[in-house]
Amino acid sequence: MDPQVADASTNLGLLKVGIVVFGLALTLLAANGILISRNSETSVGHWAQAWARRYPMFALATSFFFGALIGHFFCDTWNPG
Amino acid sequence: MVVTARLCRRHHVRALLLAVIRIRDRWPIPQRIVRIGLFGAAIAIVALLWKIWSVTTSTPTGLCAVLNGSPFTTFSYPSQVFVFTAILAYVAGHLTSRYVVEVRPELIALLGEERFERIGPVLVVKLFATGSLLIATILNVYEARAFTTGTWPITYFVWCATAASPLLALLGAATFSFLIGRWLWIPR
Repeated sequence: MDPQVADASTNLGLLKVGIVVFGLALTLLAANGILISRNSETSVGHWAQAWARRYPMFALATSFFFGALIGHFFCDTWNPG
Repeated sequence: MVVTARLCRRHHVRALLLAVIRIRDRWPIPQRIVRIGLFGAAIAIVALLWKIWSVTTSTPTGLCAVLNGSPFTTFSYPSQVFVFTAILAYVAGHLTSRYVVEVRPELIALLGEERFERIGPVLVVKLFATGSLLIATILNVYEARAFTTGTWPITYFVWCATAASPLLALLGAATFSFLIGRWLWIPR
């Protein structure tokens, strides 16, 4: 079966969506953790850690879930060659 | 008034209302600005959802390099690079959290105690955690169902976005893993 090479603009559209949805959120969270922590205040990450201390089993299960998710997305078990 | 009174009788909603009232008392933002901000946020969310919908509905008709109805999984980097980078970032996140705890021991507290006892942020954190887990469950159900019905699962969209820019995908996976390690792998 002949492979069909897609329109590059469609891939670029998906990339834009990924950048907006995940990239912006990750950037804001990382910036919050860096900037707020320098002022001896509590950042979003500190509250998340407090939640993880109170519910350690939930934190463990959530870590396992996201680890499995990344493995599911990026472990290449099929290669059309 | 009757609805509010009925809501106040439910103790868990009452705590939430009290937290909202305290937030409003502490930061008396004019109602006009609140309404404009909410209206602008609603427009931004609708625009984002429209953008996501317009992109994702066009993807199955010819996206990436398609063979047998699914995208190629050959990227510029081998899959081991993504996986091991995510693992290293996860460990690095945990190590940075250990350093923060050593520098600021006052942050070693459970949710609802000491520095983290303010009811407003506690409720926000719990609502966010519950909502995130609910959304993850819904997405997992969609992923499982997509494989059985023949529609494109979320995995195929991730592969295609990775094909568009493997470097950004690697950076995003590493950043996400770093945050997970920093927030959820808590030091003792």
